Amino acid sequence: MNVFLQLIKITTSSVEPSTDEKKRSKAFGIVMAILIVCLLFIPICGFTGFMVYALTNGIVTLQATNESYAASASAVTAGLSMALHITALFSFLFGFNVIMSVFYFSSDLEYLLPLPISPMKIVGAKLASTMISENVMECLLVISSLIGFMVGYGFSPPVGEGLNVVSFIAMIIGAATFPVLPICYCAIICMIVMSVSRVFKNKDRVSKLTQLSTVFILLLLVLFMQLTGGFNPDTFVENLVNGNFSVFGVLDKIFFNVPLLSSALAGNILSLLLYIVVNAAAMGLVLLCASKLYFGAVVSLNNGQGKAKAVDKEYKLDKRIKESSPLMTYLKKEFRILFRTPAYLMNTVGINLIWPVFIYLFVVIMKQFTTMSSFIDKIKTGEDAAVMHLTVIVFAASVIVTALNCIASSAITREGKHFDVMRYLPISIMTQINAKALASIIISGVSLAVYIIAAFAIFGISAYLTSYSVLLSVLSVIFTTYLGIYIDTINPKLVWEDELNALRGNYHVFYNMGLELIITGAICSALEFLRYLNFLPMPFLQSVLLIIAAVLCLQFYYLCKKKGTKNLMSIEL
Amino acid sequence: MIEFKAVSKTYNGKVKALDNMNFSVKEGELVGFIGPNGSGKTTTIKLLSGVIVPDKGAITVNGFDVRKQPLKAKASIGYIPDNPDIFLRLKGIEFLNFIGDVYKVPADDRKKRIGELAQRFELTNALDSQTLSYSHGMRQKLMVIAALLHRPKVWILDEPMTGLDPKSAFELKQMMREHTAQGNSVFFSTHVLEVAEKLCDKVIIIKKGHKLYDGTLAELEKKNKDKNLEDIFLELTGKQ
Repeated sequence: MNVFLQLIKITTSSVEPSTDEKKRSKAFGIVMAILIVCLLFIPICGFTGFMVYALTNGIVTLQATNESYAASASAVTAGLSMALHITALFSFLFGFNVIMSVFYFSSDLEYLLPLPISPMKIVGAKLASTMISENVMECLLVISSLIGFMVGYGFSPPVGEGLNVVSFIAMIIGAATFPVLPICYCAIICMIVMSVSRVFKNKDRVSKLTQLSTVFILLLLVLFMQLTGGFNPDTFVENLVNGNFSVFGVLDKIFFNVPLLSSALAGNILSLLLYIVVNAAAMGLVLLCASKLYFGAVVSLNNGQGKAKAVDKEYKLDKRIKESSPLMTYLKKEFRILFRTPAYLMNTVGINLIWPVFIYLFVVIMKQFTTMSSFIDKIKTGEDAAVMHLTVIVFAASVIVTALNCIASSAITREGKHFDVMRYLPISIMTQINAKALASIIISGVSLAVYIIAAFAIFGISAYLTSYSVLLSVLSVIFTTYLGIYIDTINPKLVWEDELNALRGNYHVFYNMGLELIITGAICSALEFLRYLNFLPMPFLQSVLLIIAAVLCLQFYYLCKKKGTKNLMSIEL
Repeated sequence: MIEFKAVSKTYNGKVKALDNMNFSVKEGELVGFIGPNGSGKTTTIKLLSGVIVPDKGAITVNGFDVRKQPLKAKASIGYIPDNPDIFLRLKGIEFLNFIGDVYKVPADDRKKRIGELAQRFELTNALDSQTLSYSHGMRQKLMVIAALLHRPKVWILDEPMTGLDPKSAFELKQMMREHTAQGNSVFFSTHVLEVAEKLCDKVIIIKKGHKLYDGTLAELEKKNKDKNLEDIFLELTGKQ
């Protein structure tokens, strides 16, 4: 086989489940895959497609009814461009972390660097494998956006030329290659940064710095979106067509593949050709940078991993030796690994710090709507419907935040190649599971409690509701944690190349999310329905929810104790 | 101290790693476990340390059945795995504290033992660094210190000399002798025949999950006059 294809195969293999894992999890995997597709992919893609359809349809209608808009034929793709820009932005933001990990921190480098393979081939293979592994969700989002656009535009023939063969070719090429430009940006920036920052000579420091930069870019973006003015739903389509959202104007210049693809989809063959040339040129530029910058930085980084620093001659053991219980010492070990491993710090601990940014963004947008302030007023006056909505939001958000940070659903997977340590230590598997659960409960629970208290204080919500919400949130975190750990005991991915792959290639995060959504959705719907029937008092319904959450905590705790421990003992090593 | 009775182990219901294996290690014995790659050495050691469970047979360590009283059996052994790359984000001292807590070693005893062993293996200066920055040999030394921290009666070591510098290898061999001299047992796997020759009271040679020889090296050499240990080993296990 061609060396380049072999390299792609090798670099992609770490995100695939091993043969043994595949065998053991076949039936389970199929069931969970169906659930994930139904509960996550279809709703997200359906929503995206519908949003693009609605915007495109709105623009077409606007053009048909208002002569001043008819002149700007290219404006018909504004809705599609918006969706594609958001997808490109996410590819770019999350691509940094992945590129940094795959290019500079993966353990396969130890074997690849001594081989007589050019840096262009190594980087090319790594770039291709990154795109393959990162492309699934993005591809689905792009396809749903494109379908939404085609339905909105193609079936509205009064304005524009409608669709032609070029549109369909552009759709296929666009779906397959859309993340190329954002990922190439990440690759080029990472190579330049790593080349310049050789002085750091410390993998962890560089990795943490990159991840901090990602958060910083996200914060800047939020700030920028606020400065460019809020969103007014009544004039949204008009503003979009008129190019009044300067944020999309800037994004048009950064991700210039988006206007080209949009134009190609509207039937412009020249734009399609340019789109192909742009993507090819971006990949060429990455390979050129690789030939000049890659080896120097990667070798320097691997050399610079450093020696153990010497301590004072008067090293005092007394101060450093403290006795703890097995549970506490295991918990400390979990915290140290979570906080000191850059990939875990960002993706499991750090992700909890991003929520205030989203909440802030949500509040900024919602300020445009009068419903938000009236909703808060209704909560303050104790209106049943509003209080129930808030209760349900707290419950669902706590479950989602805990499931998303995947501290629990990757608890066993994180052990990786040294999973056998769990077996030979003279402490019970359940004690180890409890320590892992405590790490998740403390990190998720504390951050959620702080956010709830802070947000409720800002909105002036009563101390009673605040206390109730914190209690409900903690219980939700506990049952989500134990369910997440249980799912990870069924078929942990113990073979991974680097820590980021332990999280990225771990389908348990999705399985957990899918199951949690079913449970939460069912409970929330039932409670809202009971509240709607209006024959049970609110405090009673709130108590019922607390009892349900407590029962789920016990249920999933015993599931871990009875079956989770057995699962872990039955894994073949 | 170690009893291995009619133990069989099959992986995924297909690959038979051990077939009806029997052996014992008595008090004060230093036993070398020798065999070619894939012969079942690591499987045997994993069974002894409780990492995997046998399909058939019984394993007893220090009088504790590994299956029925796993925690007591595990607490009574000092185990060094074949891969020392464990919890690399912890500092050396944190790892030793973790092991000390898990094996319930009192703080005073822990201080004394860590001080003594770290000095013997010249690791004191590196204890405050993350083990990620250690060389393979330093990690191996840390594993040795961790395994011996709770003064276990039985030591089970999987290729313990790998990566150790000559001085540390000498120290470990010395400690193994001292340990057995006090009436305790050491069971270790090795590829290095010279180590087994110089160190062991007896050797167990296995191939494809079957025991080929169990006895002293002197007896083995007596049976195979005019042959050195390497020739005997190759003859027994078949040239590969």
